[in-house]
Amino acid sequence: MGNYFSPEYMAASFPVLLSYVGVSVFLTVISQSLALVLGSCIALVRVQRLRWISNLFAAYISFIRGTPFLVQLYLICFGLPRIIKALGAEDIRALPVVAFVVLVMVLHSAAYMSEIMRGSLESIDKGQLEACYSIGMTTAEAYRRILLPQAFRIAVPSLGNEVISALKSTSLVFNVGIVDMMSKAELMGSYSYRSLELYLDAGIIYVLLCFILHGLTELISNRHRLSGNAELVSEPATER
Amino acid sequence: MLALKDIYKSFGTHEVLKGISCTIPTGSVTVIIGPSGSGKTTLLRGINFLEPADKGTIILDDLKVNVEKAVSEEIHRLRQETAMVFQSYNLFANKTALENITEGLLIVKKMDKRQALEKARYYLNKVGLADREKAYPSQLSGGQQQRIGIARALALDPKVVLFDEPTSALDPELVGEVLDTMKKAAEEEHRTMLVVTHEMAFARDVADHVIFMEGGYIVEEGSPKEVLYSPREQRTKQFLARFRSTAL
Amino acid sequence: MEDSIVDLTYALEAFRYLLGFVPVTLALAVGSMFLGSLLGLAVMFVRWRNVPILGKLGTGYVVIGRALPTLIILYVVFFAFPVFLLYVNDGQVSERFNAIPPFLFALVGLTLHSGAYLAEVFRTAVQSVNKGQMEAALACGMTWSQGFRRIVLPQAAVLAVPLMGNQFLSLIKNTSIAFMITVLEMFGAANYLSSISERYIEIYLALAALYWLVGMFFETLFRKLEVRLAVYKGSKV
Repeated sequence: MGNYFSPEYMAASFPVLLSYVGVSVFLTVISQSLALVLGSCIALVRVQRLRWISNLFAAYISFIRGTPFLVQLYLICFGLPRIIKALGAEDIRALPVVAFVVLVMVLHSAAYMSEIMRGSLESIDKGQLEACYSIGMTTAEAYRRILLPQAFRIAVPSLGNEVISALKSTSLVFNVGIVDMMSKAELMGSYSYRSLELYLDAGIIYVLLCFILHGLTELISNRHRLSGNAELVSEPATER
Repeated sequence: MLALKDIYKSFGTHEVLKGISCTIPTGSVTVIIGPSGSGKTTLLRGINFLEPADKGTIILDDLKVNVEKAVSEEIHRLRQETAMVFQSYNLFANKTALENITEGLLIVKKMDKRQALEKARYYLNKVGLADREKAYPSQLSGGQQQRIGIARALALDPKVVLFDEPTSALDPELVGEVLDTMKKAAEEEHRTMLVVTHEMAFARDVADHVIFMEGGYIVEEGSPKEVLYSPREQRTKQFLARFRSTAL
Repeated sequence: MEDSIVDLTYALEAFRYLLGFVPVTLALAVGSMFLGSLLGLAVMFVRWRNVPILGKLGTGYVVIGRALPTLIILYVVFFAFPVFLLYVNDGQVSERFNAIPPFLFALVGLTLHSGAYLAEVFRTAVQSVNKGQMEAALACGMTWSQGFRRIVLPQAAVLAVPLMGNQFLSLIKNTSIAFMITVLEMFGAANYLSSISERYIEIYLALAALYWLVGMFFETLFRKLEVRLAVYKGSKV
């Protein structure tokens, strides 16, 4: 390959890119934790079928699932500051882009996670809830002590998949100004003209991260082997 | 004539068939009864190699197959000359009732289309479902599906029809129609039938020969009157005691 | 400069402008779905029949293909090709290289991406077909390949349709990433437009609405198809 492709350059750039991996990991961890909480709340509301608020959430979920992540990213990161400025708050520049990116990722993943949680809640045998009522539990207690824990266990593989998806989507956020692995690769590529090597490096890092996340998911879902009537949802074959 | 000689089969360390030998004369109806785990289904499925046995010999008229050394031509011939009716019907889900029957005729027996359709319609009519020829299995009841399964098996003109607990998966009210169809097949067609079942009334009324299996052995065999009403073996008596209150 | 936060008439104009780029997006989606399906089928087959070297390669492809961000795959295809050409032609790259439309790179990239997912879809579908179907086929005297071709495969196809539908909807959204390798599809067009007018909110809302509508259209289509195919479904394993 000679001059056209340089494995040496690839090896040399790898640690450089690796040093930026913290940004992507940070974004993923923060946003997914918040998304899980938000998504679960939304799922609970939807399972109870609370009138207009359920419909509102349904519309929100439909929007998120029907539009590309990039569009949501640009809308929030370019559009939202405009709205906030127009509403009066002038020192918008004080808010770093990271906050907006986390917001997008939370809103994005929460929609998918709420569907996952809703599905797993609905897959639990009705008899469980009936048993809770029969011993005098309130609905809140039933969910908190019996249903939600079961739902989480069922949902672990799908939720894990969602986290992996979120990690992969962080590859796009350098477009709105985040300084991460991809922006560094772009920068280095622009003066070394060895973009292929750089993006191969980035690819390797993403694959390794995904393997780690997948391993963690397997670990968690194996620790909570389910007994009883609810079924473990296997790893979905498609992207969602 | 179908003969089985010294059939052995193990699943891992668990020996399920411990040297089974028996003969099924042509044109007869033989019923195998026994508790679950006795190996009767495994024996049946070993005949058409869906669950190949480990050792022994299978003789079907002029075809003699050494189970251990069976080659694919022999297995293929066994499958072509036998037909099976399954517990879960296993009708081809993507084919209509009629097509389920013509499928084997066209592909395996290599009949021409007109002949195949004629034959299929004949058997579909025989099992009383001529008006459902264009229906898909998903649109039919369990009993109807099983009757088509029987038609499918009969249309192939097999030397032996193997029935693997044909009514066990059916709702009770549908069992009768299937057993009647089987009885018709026995009486009108004089097919050699080997039936694994729990339906004692069928064994009593239709079978020429009854075999009682338990724990991988043939414990007792004989005519229905002998085995069901005056069994010699203690284990046979114990097994039949369960059915005392019902059919017998 | 702006009178209002959201100018609806401008948003409508933007919508009309972006509408013109739907064909590009759909061409990318349909093209890579089709090619990806062929690739996915081939990969599923070599893995299933444990073909010596190809089978292992196939498994590697499926695992890595699903762990890589779409953008990385597109970038690698985009940057690898010139490198490959340089290597093969020993330093000389023909003039015609510059004429290769980026659309083609995006097509290859998206094909590679969906192929990995589709291979898993097909594998799941084939495994979900009731084992009894093949047993019945064998018991009737058919060979394994007859049974597979005539009975199992058609049923697997029916099971695969909803999953393929999901993948296609995902693909439509993923085409937006192609703008990063200079393909002028819907998102790229919106990007261009917003660089001129700076009316981000209107443009990207219009874009979102457009994606959403296109998605809805295909989702309804797929659901109708699923209903019609339900007749051919057997019971689960």
